[in-house]
Amino acid sequence: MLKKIIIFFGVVVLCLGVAWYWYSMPRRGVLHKTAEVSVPASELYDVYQSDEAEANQRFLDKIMEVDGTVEEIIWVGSDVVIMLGVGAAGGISCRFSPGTEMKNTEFKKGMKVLIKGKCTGFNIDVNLVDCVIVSKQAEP
Amino acid sequence: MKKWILVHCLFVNVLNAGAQLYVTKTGFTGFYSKTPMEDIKAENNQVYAAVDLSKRTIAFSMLLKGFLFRKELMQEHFNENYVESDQYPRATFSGTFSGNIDRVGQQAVVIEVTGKISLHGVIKEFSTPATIEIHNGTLTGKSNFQLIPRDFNISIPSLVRDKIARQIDVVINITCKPLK
Repeated sequence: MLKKIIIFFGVVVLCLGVAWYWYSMPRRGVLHKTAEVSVPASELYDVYQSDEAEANQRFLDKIMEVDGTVEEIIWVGSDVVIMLGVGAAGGISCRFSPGTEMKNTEFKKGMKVLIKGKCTGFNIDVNLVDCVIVSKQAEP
Repeated sequence: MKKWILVHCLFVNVLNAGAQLYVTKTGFTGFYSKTPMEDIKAENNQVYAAVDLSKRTIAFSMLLKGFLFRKELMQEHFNENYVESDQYPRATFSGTFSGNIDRVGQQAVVIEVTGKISLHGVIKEFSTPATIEIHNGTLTGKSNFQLIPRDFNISIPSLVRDKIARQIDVVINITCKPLK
């Protein structure tokens, strides 16, 4: 009987531990995840500009690699937002969250970059979050 | 889609409204919930804002999926169960402000912002104090206020009710440049 009670409480503790682990899991970035979509910045913007619903079907919540040209670099607190230009009023807004190595990396306007991030939708620009740099041109 | 077109038009109207126009694509909005059981925070640095000093109009638009949480599961629950961001992807505000802005540029000026918040399919009249300041051609705006989730038909399950504050603290911080 005692053995059964010990096993019962052991299982309960194990289940609570697993539940706590899942509940407490930090937000995972995209660094160690494989991109589901690879698309040029201009094509990504054009699809959203022409049909947002269709674009959401293809891109929303997807981890994607986007290649484009740096138009602007904006520091916001400890975050960095890099705007990729597409020759239109909008562009691709790529948010680099804390914990990235952006502070140690130099970016210049006009530099060609390949950025991996998660698409959160369209709001004048196409927005990506949790971005990381996959590769960049040595000099613009 | 029609709602978004309407919101977009409101935003563009503010953009086209006058000469003293300041805009940003990287405004900050954070919300914070503190209870004895848990502290929750989520922050969005991709907030679009436009302030027109001559017309005294102001507009905000942000994607709800742009709010990042420390915990993965919280972010999922926020998007899927609370604000239902697939169905209602944006939070917006469009309104006017009053206050003595003649002295803005020399010091931070307290203003009263009044307008409509759209969140989770609910449009609600809203008013809050804020400050604006212009320094070296940059307009800085700040405001802190509280929102109640149930005002926007956001229901919190009883299982987690003790972990989420009844009133959510919201912080707005925008740094806008003149529209070129």
